Amino acid sequence: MTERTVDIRVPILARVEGEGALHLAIRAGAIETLQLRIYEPPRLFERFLVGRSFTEVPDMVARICGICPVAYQISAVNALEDAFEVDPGPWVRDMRRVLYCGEWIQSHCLHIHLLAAPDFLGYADGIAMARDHGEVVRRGLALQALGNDLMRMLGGRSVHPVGVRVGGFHRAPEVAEVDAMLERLEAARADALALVEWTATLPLPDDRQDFDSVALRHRDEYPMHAGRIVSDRGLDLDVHDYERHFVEEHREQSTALFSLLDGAPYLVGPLARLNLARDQLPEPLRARLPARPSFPSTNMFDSIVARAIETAFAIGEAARLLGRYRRPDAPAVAVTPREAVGIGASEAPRGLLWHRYETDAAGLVRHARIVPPTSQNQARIEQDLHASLAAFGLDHDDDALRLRCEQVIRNYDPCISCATHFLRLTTERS
Amino acid sequence: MTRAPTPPRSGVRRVRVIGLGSPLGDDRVGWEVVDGLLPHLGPGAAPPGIEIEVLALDRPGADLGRHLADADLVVLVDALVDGGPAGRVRRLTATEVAAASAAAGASTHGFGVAEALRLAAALDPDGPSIWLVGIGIAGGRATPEASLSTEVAAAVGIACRMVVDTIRAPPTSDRGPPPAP
Repeated sequence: MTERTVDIRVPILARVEGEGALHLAIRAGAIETLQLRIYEPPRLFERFLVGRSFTEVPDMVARICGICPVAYQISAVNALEDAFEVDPGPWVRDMRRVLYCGEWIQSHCLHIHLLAAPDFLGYADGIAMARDHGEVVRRGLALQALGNDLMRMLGGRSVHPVGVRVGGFHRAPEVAEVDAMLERLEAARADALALVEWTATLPLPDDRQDFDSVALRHRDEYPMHAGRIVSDRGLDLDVHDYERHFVEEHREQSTALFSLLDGAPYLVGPLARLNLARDQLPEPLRARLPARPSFPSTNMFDSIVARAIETAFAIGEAARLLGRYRRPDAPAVAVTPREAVGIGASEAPRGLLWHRYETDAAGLVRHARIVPPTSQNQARIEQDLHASLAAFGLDHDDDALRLRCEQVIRNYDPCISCATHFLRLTTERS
Repeated sequence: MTRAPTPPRSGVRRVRVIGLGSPLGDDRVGWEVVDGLLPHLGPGAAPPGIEIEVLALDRPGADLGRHLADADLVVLVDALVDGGPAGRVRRLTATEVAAASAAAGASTHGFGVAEALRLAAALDPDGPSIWLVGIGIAGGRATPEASLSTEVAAAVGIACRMVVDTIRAPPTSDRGPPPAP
């Protein structure tokens, strides 16, 4: 009889949100223990926000994540504008969507080229892959840079941008800036489609699983900055009713909370969005997509293709919205705070991001609750690891098991993705 | 925070000086150094036969690579957390940056300068000669303060001179030990 204990640990890295570890114990040919542990900074930020003015919230929540700060900003302003009954108008709505497109482009391209693709092509990391796939990586970095520049145009900078405020933006870009960006977006369309085709040719494992997809759904457009919460099992909720169905629970092995939908794990993120809203992709893009993989997909490994498709969508969507750009008289509307509760949600690159704030009459935060996508996917990742390892076969050697675990975890693009490249495996046998 | 490059002329050596940093306390020292360099290296002030671009970038991560293209020599200026005293100025080769960052987290950036340089080298093995002028900062000095600490502020002039020396008398290889400043 062979007893195998696998410990996968992620060290704490500067400016990488979260820390994680995986404990896999296999005894007598069966999984005895499989635990994913993640520590998520947003738990601390919720307390940091208490007593702060609503005007400070967008800049503070941007610090939660170095890769998806816009998502935190947009969910926060959605919630606070809900609390104060503010409608910032169509210009602000369009530009927030454009800003969000920038974040999707840069985040997805970073994940595809430097984190996920090396798994499927047999490289230790993106740098090693770059030596043999230089053109692919160069194209990916150029697209990522375009996303960063789009964020910079509206956010002032791409890392922890500072352009968003409750009621609108601090500054409206000049028409000349927008025109130059529009030219770059149009030029990037072909590269984005080539990226989609390239991801569709990757040798992805075929690992079909049964899971619930959850995402926002907007009446008029592909989900991103707002919408109702829907699932492929018929859920259709206003964001205000989130807490009636979604519960976070503490588990001993993790300082992050596990989210459950009516008691069960669920998936958020690009694959969930595409499974639920593929009909809302623009027809010209749908017509150019490869025949395989087809969506909806139950193969989690198709997530990398979903990210590429969303990259192509975001480039086209930003171009569409900037194509009708007019510089407004003012980039924001006036906001009068009040004692209230506000709720907002948006689709971070990694999935649904839900915020709830209670404010006093002066607009100071009394209570904040933030449910990030990585927490929502945590239970699903564990469920996936069980199913994926069972399908893969537990008799593989340690390196193969570790790689499969890493592939599964990275597929979700959790905030610990960067760190999971440093997973360490130790094995004990008896 | 990018200054527009000047177009290159044929037959000239193209040099790029890139200040790396963030608005956080001593982490902004790379920006302060390139600001200090503008009177010496800005338009009309560059030595003969050299075309110089001066850039300041905010935590570029993997995006740093595109700013290394089409140059003969790149001098990066960045804060270093290397265990040495705050304000110590060092010149490192690209190879040393990679090794130091991998060993001790010398860079203050997330997808570090080391990773960005390795990625750039993988994509373009015949890329520019790259040096880094690093200014030591104390661990934890990447704070929300808008100004530099006294020790680090005092090192800005030294770092500026080291950048100018590196451009005027470039080492023959970025793989060997750097000449004494």
